[in-house]
Amino acid sequence: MTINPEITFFEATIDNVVDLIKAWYDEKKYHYVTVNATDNGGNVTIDWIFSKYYDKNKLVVFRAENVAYDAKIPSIVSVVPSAWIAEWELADLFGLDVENAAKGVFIEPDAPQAPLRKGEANG
Amino acid sequence: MGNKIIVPFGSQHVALPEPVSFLFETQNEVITDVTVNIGYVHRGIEKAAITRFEYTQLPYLVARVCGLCSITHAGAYTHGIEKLLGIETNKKIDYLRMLVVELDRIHSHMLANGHVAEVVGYENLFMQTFRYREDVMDILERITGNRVQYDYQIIGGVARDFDKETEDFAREKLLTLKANTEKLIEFFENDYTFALKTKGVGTISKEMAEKFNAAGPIARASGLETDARAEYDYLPFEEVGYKLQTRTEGDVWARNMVRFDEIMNSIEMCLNILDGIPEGEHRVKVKGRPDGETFVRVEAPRGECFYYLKGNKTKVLERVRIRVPTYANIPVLKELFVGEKYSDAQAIVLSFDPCMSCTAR
Amino acid sequence: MIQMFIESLKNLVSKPETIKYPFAPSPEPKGYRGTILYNEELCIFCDKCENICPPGAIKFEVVDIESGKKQYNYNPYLCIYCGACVDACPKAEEGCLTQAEVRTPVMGESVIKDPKLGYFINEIDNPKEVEKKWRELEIRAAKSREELAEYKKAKRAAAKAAKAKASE
Repeated sequence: MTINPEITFFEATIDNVVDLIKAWYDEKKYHYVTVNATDNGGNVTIDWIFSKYYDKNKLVVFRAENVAYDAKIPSIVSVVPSAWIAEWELADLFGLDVENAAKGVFIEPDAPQAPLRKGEANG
Repeated sequence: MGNKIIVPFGSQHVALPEPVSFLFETQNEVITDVTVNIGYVHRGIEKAAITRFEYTQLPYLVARVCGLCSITHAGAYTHGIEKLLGIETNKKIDYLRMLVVELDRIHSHMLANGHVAEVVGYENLFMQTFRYREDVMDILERITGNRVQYDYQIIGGVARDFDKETEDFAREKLLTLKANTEKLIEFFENDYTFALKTKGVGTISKEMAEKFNAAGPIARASGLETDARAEYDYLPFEEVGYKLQTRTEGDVWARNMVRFDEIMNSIEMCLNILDGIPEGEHRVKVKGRPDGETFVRVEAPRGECFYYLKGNKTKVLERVRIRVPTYANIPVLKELFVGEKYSDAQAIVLSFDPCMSCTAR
Repeated sequence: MIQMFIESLKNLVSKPETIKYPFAPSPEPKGYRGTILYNEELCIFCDKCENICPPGAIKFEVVDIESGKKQYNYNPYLCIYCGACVDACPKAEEGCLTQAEVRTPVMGESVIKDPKLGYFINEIDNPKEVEKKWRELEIRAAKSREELAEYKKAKRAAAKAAKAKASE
């Protein structure tokens, strides 16, 4: 069989994504999966991915496009308490500026910084 | 008023099989605060997958992220790439893939239960569990050629065909395994000293599991009904007798029992699969280049594993994102330690079944 | 209590579960994935095995630019024994590239020697030099492929110029 999920996309920007998720999220119905970032050359696309309990083959994605490398990305820990670990990883591997992130958890200080970026050179 | 002492349950410890480091702040042997440090075995696999390897070589790279759940990583990647290339697999390939995935689940759960018995102090039970686990490793070695890294799932099918002699060998060993596992379940369930060390320790309530989004046998032992085999249609599990197993207590003992229930269910499923393998080819033709993006969720022995793939019609993919189940359970672990005694920390960590080489890939 | 005594007496007289390797032999089971063996007469030099190998343990080197003759080099200490090259070879059923059912012995004091393993491993005797010489071979093989491509391009351009001149 091939997989065929039914994905619902919501458009969001960095400024309103926390309010959108707070208005929509219900602990007993939705399950948080992860936060993901993809590099498109000069900017980054960020996805917040959720799924539903008790329902087959459904996924919900909040997508923010064209985020610059030095934008301040808000944290959704006030809504979903277990999201801090994925956000710290994005801050380490992409060099992004996430609220309240501790750097140096995944990569040592003397290793090449921000390895997953494709835009400018890393040091 | 007690003194505050910082005790490291560090990356090198006699009872810890994984490289993770906890710093406990304790007061009179009760833990008050935790600092977690992961990332000791970061190898840069996501970066290597988009620069140095082509998309046909990636099942072999991604399978080596972890040793115990290697077939789930290779399986998730092949399901995603087959969607991007537009390939349909036939029923025989699905049944053979399900057989090896369920056998992998059996051997991983037996290892986890054996380790919990070891750190609690019951070393004889640990040795007996590992002795009975050797039957499963013999079957896997006959089917795929290797005990740990199978290299069985490739793009467009499976690597080897399945003949009658292998089927008789597998059926005989599975029946022996079933009798032996029932003996083990009797020990784990009814022993008095084992229950003193594991019942009531590290309890997670259902509200806490929902709030922190736990995944895998940890959530199912607290009564939360979540399983990627029931929520996501990637292989025909319902046809061969799959049932979702839950318990309600939520402590270390209940997590062991959920794993044993899943082992018995998996043995039933494997015997049903051996009775009903259809005819057909074990491989389908592959052509084209991957284009687009896709999301995949599969059920590893430790929980739900998530993949995101993005391609743009070249031989090298653009983004491969892996999120493993232990990664999602670390926030729960951090909340759970506060208020427990320091001497119970080993049993709690090992009942979560951590896999650190998956977490810091 | 009685159960405990019966179990102890049974364990005293039964055989142990483990094999005393290396004093007793440890046979490989049926269908084991072992060393890769190569037969030079049946090869058509299509390069499919080199393109699919994940760690890059098979390298072809061009030794004669005029005729385009290639030589097969295989490193059994870098190989992961996945069997992808055997699947990709178009002449595998006739026996060009096969996978044996015995394991490669550990390197230890001596390097393995067999005529079916290609040119590289039969020319080295010291186990400490294997890695260094393999890195040199990789650089040499890549450079020889570039020279072959340029030679072919120059020959095609010369043939086209000669044909254009002959038709005037």
